[in-house]
Amino acid sequence: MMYRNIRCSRWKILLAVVALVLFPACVSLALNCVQCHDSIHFKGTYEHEPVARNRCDSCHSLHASRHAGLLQQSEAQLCNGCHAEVTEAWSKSSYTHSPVHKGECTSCHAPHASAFKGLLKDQQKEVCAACHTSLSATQGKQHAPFKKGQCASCHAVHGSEHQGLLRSEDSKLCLGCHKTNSAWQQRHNGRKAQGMNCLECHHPHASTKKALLRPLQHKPFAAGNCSACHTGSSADGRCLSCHSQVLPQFQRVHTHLQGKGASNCTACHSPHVSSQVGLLKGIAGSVCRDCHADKLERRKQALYVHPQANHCSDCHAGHGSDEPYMLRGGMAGACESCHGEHSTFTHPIGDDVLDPRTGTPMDCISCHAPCTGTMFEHNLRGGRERGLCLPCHPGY
Amino acid sequence: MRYTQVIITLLIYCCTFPLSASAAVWISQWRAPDPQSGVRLESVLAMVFDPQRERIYVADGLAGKLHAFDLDGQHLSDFDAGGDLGTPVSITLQRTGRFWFVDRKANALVRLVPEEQRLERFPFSLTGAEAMLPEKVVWHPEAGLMVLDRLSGNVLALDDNLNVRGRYGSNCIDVVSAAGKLWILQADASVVQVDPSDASESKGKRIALQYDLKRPSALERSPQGQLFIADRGLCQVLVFSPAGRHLYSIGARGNRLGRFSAPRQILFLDSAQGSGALAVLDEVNRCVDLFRR
Repeated sequence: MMYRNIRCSRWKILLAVVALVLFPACVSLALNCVQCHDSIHFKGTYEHEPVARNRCDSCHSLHASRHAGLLQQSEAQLCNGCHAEVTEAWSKSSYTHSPVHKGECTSCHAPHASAFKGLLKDQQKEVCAACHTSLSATQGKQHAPFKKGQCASCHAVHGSEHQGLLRSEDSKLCLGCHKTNSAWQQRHNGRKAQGMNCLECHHPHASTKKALLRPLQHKPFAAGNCSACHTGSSADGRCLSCHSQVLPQFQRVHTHLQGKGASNCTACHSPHVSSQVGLLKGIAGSVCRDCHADKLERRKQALYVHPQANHCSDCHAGHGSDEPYMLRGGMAGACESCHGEHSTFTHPIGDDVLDPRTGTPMDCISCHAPCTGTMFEHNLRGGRERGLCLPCHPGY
Repeated sequence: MRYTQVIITLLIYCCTFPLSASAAVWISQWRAPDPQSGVRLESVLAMVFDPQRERIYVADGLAGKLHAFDLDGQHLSDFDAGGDLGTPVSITLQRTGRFWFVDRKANALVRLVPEEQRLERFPFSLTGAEAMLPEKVVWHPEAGLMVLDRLSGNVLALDDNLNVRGRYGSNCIDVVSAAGKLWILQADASVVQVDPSDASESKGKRIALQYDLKRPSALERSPQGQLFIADRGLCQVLVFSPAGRHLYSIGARGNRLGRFSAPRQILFLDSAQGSGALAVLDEVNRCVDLFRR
């Protein structure tokens, strides 16, 4: 009995010693940090778990680091260390939020403490508006979730399987709140809601038009003259009979007509309403993505991408072109429209300078891959020190 | 024990070598035009093989010229019909030696009768009920002239007055005439086999290609019945069994001999000397590469 008491008291003593040793260590670590770093930055309604435990050293190196903020690893690696499930989820998604893809978690999240759930830097609306500045300029009647700043009610903020980081297919998403009834069906010519592309006609944030319709309207639609187009004969022929000015653009070597029967024009253009000039179904990059997803996938893997890469129509003609890849003004011409100054100091290009590998004239894309991007600076196809030049200049 | 291991290794090698070799037997022979020859093509858009003369004719679309090459890739001559050839984007050869072109700028079919040095142009409209934008023209020995229409996505069988008398396929990308039938490559990664001389047959037999194609651009059928598909996205020529099973691929992305940047057309050279050779026309590399087994 006495032996038992002694053993029990030994354990208590041991625990007391451990507590006495560790507690001051934690306290001293936090105390040491807050001696210089104002503790007000680490207090909030929501505190990051290591901060709450006073474990500054979970993320920071105390003495030296190669990363800004004395972080132990890069921001992405560090966050992924504990939040691997988030990384796993977005890495499998088809569309990723740009800061997430770049590993810039602190673009939206406060790493220490915040007054907002999810350690957001500010209210959700403000966090989103910090980058999506055009949203603050929206005019007219606002969609209720947008007005309330509930961006995440429609958007998956890290990554999604759907364009625009939508939480689900747009009709499914919309029908989560908007119920269909006979009046709805009447307004939509008796069509079924399932599978409809609501966002093609309705703006999800705000619009000056009735029922949040997109602002630019096809003339017959605006006039309520449905029969001008819905006549039952070939759709493309009907489009071209009014829009005859685009006819010569299709009579090029490369035409964007894809042989999709009735849906050639409507593959890119909305026949009713749009927010984009030319009644495009979306901004140039997103419209193109529907068919050219592989190109954008390759771009995703590249380290260096042309800054205007998503503005496809800057370099490519939408209807037709005589050049490969439907470029505007030829291989060099498409580049010269912005990079005209390079013609004075570039590597020789043009019809008189033949690529020794192919015997074809050298042009910008002999060395650069602006569309898909590359792993080398200036979208070069190889390293400047040897890989790029040696295939043509082996003597050097 | 060691001898047994050696024998087993040899047996495995002998069994597997023919399988691995089958994918590697296509060897690039030459590229036309030869960079040293001084001949330059502006936009290589179509080619056709004349088995009688054993020549490959290559259409330079923007220059409006037809270049002739022999089976060694040597440039023989060029022809522009006095600047009247237009913008040929497709070319086919009738058994009588007459050429048919698609002139894209004029949206017309053009018939060239070499012996009479005569060109006949048949324009189409892009609007109205008869709207048509021919992309490719093919001559079928029994059924006559076939046109791939980019507007409707169908292959159209034309009668002697160039009126549409039949429609085949949907979302068509390419069409070839081989073994008395039409073979149509569709955007849904399938090939449809149709007999155009049989009026009762309009749907044909569909062969699904078991491969994740990126941007299929051209089709050819080998004399052995294999389907050769050029893919601009993959920059390869993929070979499929008659049932659509992927067998192997030829080439890779690049601009050296035997590599592709934008393969646009594939052609088997069916003649005494050319038999078995495979020609691949590449628009961006501006050349024709010839492969032999």
